[in-house]
Amino acid sequence: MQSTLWRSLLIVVLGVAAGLTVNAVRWDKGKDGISRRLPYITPPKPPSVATNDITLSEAKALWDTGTAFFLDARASADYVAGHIANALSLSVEEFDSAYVNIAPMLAPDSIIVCYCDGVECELSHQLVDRLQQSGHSTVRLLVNGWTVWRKAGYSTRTGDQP
Amino acid sequence: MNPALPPKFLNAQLLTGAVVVVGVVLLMTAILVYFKTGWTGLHRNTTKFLYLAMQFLLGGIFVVYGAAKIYDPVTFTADIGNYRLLPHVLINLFAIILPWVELVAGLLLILGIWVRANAALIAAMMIMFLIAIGQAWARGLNIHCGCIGTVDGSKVGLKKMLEDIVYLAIALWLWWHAKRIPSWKKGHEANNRYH
Repeated sequence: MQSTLWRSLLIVVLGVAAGLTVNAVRWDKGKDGISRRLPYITPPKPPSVATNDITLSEAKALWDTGTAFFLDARASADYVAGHIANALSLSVEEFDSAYVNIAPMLAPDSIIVCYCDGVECELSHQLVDRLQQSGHSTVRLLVNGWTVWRKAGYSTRTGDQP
Repeated sequence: MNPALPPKFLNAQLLTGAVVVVGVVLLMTAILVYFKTGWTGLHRNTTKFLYLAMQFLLGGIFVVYGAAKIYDPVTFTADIGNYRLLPHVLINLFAIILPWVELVAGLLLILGIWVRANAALIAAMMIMFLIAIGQAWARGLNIHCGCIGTVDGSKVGLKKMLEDIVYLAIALWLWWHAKRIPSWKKGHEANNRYH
């Protein structure tokens, strides 16, 4: 029993040593050019810049008046499992192929509300970027959209139709 | 508008993949045991055979999980951060160290070195992951688990917890059996030699 414990500790020590050493000497970079060598102390998060975020009530107002397009940034499977009523599916992962279907409906100045699910969900942020790159100026973002919308009891749909 | 429908077979595909991996490991182990002990050895030592197979399986999984995270530590830091469990300053250190502990433990387990210690360590890590995933799930955080680096985009949830519970069970079983499994060196004749 005792030797098991010591050996386990030794394995951890080995892992720690290997990790620290490799991190100190590695020079490879990720796809985005960021070095894979990490600082040992996590640098503090940069303050978040002003965003296009809107609140749930603003989104609801847009939805009620029918003046905005709601775009679901999640994978199509999640869209089929449930989405904000009248929202269209525009999965970021299939942006290039899916955008072609959606683009004819959008004027450059139409208000677009992107959402995905989860506070940390990056998909809607990515979708906002992609849409802005595609020339849309009025793109809004409803953070944690699917969850807050559903919890508020607003209209939702399931299936592949909006 | 007709959104591209998701591949409905995705889960079945994953399951098939898992079955294939387990099957290949079992087969390779069987071949290995056959060359060491002949058919009698394989036939008489089902537990020993299973033990070796589980050793390869769990070790292999940990090597893959560790290596994927070592390959892309930046993504892994983001995943750890999402769990909102560790103090922010420690996230990088954890992302630097943990994958290597996984890799070393996995390698040693495959090689059959210190099986008990490795199994115990892996079980401890599994419990740690289960707690992390469980609390994230209970708090309703909708995040990627970061379990296999970027290879697997699965979100945390019940499925991931079940998977981890299976690994935990294998690790505990290995730990439990390690001292009961006789040495390989002399095949089935050495059945009464415990180490």
